Amino acid sequence: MQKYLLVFMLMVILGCTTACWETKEYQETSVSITPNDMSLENVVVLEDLLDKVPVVIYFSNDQDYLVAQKREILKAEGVARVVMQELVKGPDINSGLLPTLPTGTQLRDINIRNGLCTVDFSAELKTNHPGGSSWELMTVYSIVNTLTRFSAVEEVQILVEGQIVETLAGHVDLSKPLVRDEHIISK
Amino acid sequence: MSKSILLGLTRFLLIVAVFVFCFSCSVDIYRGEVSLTPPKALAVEHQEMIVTGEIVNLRAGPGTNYVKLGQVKQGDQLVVLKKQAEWYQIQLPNSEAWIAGWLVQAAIVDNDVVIDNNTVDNNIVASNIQDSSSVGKQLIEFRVGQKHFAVNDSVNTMDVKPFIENGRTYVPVRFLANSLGVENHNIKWDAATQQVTLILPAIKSNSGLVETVRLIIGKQSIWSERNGYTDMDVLPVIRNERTFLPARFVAEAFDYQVNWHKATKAVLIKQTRKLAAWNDPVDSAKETTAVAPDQQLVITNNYVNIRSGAGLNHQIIGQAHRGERYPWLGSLGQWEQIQWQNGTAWVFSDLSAIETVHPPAIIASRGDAPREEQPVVEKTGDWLEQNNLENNLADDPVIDPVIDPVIDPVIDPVIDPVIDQAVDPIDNTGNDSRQLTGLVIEQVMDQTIVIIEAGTNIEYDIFTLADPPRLVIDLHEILPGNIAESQEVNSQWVQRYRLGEFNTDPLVTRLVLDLNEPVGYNTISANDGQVLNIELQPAAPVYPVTGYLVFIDPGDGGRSPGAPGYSRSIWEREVNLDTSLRLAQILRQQGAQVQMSRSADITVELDERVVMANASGADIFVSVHANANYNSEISGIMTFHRRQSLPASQRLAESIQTTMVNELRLVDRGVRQANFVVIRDTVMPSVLVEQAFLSNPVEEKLLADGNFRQQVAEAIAQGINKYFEG
Repeated sequence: MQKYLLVFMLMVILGCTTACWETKEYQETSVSITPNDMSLENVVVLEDLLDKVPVVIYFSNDQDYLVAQKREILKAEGVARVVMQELVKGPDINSGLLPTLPTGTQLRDINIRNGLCTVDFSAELKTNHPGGSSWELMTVYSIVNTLTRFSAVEEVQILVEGQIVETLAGHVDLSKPLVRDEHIISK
Repeated sequence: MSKSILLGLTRFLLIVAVFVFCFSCSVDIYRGEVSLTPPKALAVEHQEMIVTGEIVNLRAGPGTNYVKLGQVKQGDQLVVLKKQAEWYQIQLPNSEAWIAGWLVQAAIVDNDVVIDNNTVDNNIVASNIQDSSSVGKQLIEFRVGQKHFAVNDSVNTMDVKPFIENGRTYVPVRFLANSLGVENHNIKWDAATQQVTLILPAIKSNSGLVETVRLIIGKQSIWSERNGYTDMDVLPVIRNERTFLPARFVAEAFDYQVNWHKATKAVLIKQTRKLAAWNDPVDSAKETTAVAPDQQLVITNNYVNIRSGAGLNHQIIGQAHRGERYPWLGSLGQWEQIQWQNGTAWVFSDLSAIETVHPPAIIASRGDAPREEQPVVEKTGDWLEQNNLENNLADDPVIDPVIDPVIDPVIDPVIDPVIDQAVDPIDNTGNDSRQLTGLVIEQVMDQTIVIIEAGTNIEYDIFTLADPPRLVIDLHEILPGNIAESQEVNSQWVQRYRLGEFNTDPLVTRLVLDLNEPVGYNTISANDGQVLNIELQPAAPVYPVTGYLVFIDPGDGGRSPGAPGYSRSIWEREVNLDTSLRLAQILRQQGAQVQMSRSADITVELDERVVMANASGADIFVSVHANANYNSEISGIMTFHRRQSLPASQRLAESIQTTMVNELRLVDRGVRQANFVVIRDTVMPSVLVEQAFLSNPVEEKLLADGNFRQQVAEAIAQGINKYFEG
């Protein structure tokens, strides 16, 4: 029984992903599971049944440092994609942390090859960015540091609408892949 | 590649536009203004004047409210009948008329200047001598093989002689620099790099800005703020442990004109202060409404925005550049109103200076020291008069034309060989000459000038003493003579002087000046060393940043607007630029050199900024930004240096952050590290300053306020000075 549910679940994810690629309209968030998201009954059931894996996502505190927030997600393919979706969603409401991606930003694509993770966001990542060097650091390094938690990822190349951009808000160089920055994480 | 072509094209078009604009202005009719100064009679009768304005109105009376009688053109010569306020009455064939004094200039009588094209200094421009658009301000003459040299109307003595080598005249650095207006504390010698730095203060430079010139012993190039690196055909040299510089190149680097006179082996150096005529036509209806007839706003920076109103939020309607002058109408807060094209416009006051324009004849009268108008505290002998009489004996017409003989016929800087013969410091035949013959202490502007005169060459030591502050001058082998032993002076700096025989064998007479506060001083020997001038002036505040090159990078600009303000009233690019321009102004005033990645609202890519900064050879790099955050409650100041940066970068960041927090009293968000492009790739110690948060409504209001931005600039400058202090 469990096995069938798992297979069914994987098909749903696969289907949604395909749909996303075709329509460029992102639907996946409906199946990602967070402890706060109790609205979907069948997901509650799944949560009890499926293996989950803890992940860490970085958000900004009010001192312009990154703070790790732990979440549990389904142990499934595309975990990197799911954590980026969690980053897009923003921090838990009562955490006191601040979102790091501009409003309206959507994940377009993500893949990992030979230690390089290429992550592609919609134009809002740049156009809706409020500017400010410290905020730009939060945006860039919340992405980079969250992804470099995975042992398979050494460097992160951020793209906007599939293109390399020089910078988001005029300070940080995005023309090349970036490595993890531990100093920017709140101690 | 295409980007650089585009940039070049844009610059070319800009230059063409500026040129066309200037030209179109210059052919407009110049107008006079109503003078508010009381009538003043000056000895200008029967002087010849040359018209300096393009086309100048002749009027029935001394003011623009009088009827126009006709017009004269640039270069026309007129005979002056009399002067009233700033207006001259001139002789016409059958009548008289009046002309605005600031649009004419005393004619220079061109005598038989002998210029030989085969002279050792081979690039003489004879036409320099007669330049109707400029007036002499400083006139200096050095002669090869002679210790005497002349600065304006005084003859001074060096301890070594200028010499010629490879066709160039070399003059000892201190005397050359002093005569050009560079004071001793502005002559800097770096033994490690063998570099000489000369700094000419703004009040003495042609441009009205601090000018810096650098040479390196053994290097065939000279660096100046004005021209960048210029090749010389000779080297600066050290002879007998003295540094000699090629006079021509140094003088030209400071924008002096240099001529060589072969017959007397004289280098003639002339400073010309260009008196730009009004380059802004005034609508005739407004002619009589002008507030201050003789005041102009001089633009002190390049790419200064001209706005429709007094504030950054007003529209930019044009741009002005350094040295341009506009009729000044008044101030409103930090903004100056000017006449601009057919209306009025506003310029930010820190990027400009208000200048009172006198007719050229007055400026030219006697260098920078309007002695006649100053109260004389005490005067026991008119040494100047005597000096001039002696000099008049020398009748060398060759040098005359450089000075305007009409204005001040007694000034003649020619050194007469006869005086040369008479140099005999010790008179062995009697003691009479070993006496003080005069002591004058007078106040001129903010200087107290002490003039000591003796019958012999004055050998002296000068030093200061503290608690109470005193200036002591020990005069060797000189007796006090008939000068009063002590007297109250009560000048700005000197309470009283005391004079007495301090030692008999060897003979020392000591002059003590009791001071109100510690002062700085300059000494100048004149008249074969028989006159010693000591200028007391405010102890110059020493700015550690003096002589350093600071590269300022105003963040964003042009297509990159940066962060918006909370209410979107302002954007980061304009705040960054304005604070940066203020910072540049402050640092220049403190004697630093400044280069900027942009001084207007233009797009400059991050890598272009890095290339510019690295090419400048700047000592430090400061990028000026304003911050933003998702959360509008967040506020405060941050300064960044790059990860694993030079220790100097961290020290610079800490210094700036500390002074900013202390001065501005905003939240201290600390010194942080980040690999922002401009601080990651610049090779010198470099920082990125975040002034405050535009996303915070309170700080947005602060950043929109020019007074606050001035405070920010001052705080950054203070931090930079602390850094250089070490």
